[in-house]
Amino acid sequence: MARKKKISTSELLIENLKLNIGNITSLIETKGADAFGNNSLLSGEEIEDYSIEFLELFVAILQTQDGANIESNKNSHEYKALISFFNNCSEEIQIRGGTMDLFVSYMHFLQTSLIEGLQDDTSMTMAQYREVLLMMASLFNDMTLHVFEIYLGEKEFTIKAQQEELLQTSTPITEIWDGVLTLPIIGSLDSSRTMVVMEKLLQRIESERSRMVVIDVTGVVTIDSQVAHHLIQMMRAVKLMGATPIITGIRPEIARALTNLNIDLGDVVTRATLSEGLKEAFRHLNIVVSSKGS
Amino acid sequence: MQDVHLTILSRQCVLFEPGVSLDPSNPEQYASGVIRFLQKNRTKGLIYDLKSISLIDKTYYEWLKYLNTLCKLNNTELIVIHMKPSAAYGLSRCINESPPFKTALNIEAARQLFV
Repeated sequence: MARKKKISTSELLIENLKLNIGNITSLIETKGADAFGNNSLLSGEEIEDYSIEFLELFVAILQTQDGANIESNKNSHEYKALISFFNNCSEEIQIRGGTMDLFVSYMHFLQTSLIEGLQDDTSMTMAQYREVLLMMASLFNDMTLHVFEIYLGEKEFTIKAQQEELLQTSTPITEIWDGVLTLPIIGSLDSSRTMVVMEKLLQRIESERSRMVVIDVTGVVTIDSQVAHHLIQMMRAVKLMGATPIITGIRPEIARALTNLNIDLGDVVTRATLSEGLKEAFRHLNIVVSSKGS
Repeated sequence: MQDVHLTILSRQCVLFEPGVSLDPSNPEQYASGVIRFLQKNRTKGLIYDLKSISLIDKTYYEWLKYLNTLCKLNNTELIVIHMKPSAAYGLSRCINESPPFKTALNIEAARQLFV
């Protein structure tokens, strides 16, 4: 009995859409033009195409076996097609510089247009109206949630990719000579950054069979006990791999802080500048760099 | 000494390859065998190959220190080679001292250290 009622609600809606399709389409197009046309995000033709596609997909959902029952309809191809339509539409709008707010208002006025289309239908009972409104609310809420999930996922992916890129560019490990790696550290060293830097550095030592590592800290402005501890750990790990670390570019204020913190760099080779550090590395490897004339 | 493989690389230079069943928590069981081998071959340099060890914990580090002490008693230099990045990273985080033994990237680099 309940099933029959659901089917009849779908049928009523389809009937209503057939009767008012012209009005509803033009309403959607007008509102679409107001929202997107003013910003030149979508052309009139595109708004029309989207409106027709949406209505076709919406009717397709109503024509399925479960009809207006959104909960049991969620695994249907028609439902997935509607989700895919909204995702594509949202992507298109964002690619063209539109915001999610704009897209959500577009979804809102799609819903409003459908509800307004039902206003003049006197053949529906209050119970049927209620069921139709609940069904639409459930459908559009679901769609909005799906689009937001995709949107947030994309944002998260972008942020992660940017973080990764930033990390890569902020720790450029370069093999400046056969067996000599340089690592300029810029900014601050926290636990997570040290972990990443150290991992990359040790892997490079292993893959390049590097014997000398020059770590330049000219770009480190401040240092606390934790950062100093990380630095010592890095030196120790480099040594354990069998390479020799050289620290260069310790600023006066960093030197003072290290002394105040009782950090012993006694067994670490230090040089004032990166160039001095490189000279020291070359000396270790018995490499002589000289100008052609000398 | 079944858990240990010792190979004479050259005069006075020996390669130490730990087997998978080596028990670092009981270093005494290897002590006399290792010392006997070092003395017999007049070893000046013992190269300890870590290529099969992906993680070095405190127990394993203590074993390396113990072996280093044995070597020192015999006037032999212990040089640890092929430490994996994961092992170096883990060990650097759990010790608060510079290791008493030398380290090198590979056999060639190790041999250069005591030649």
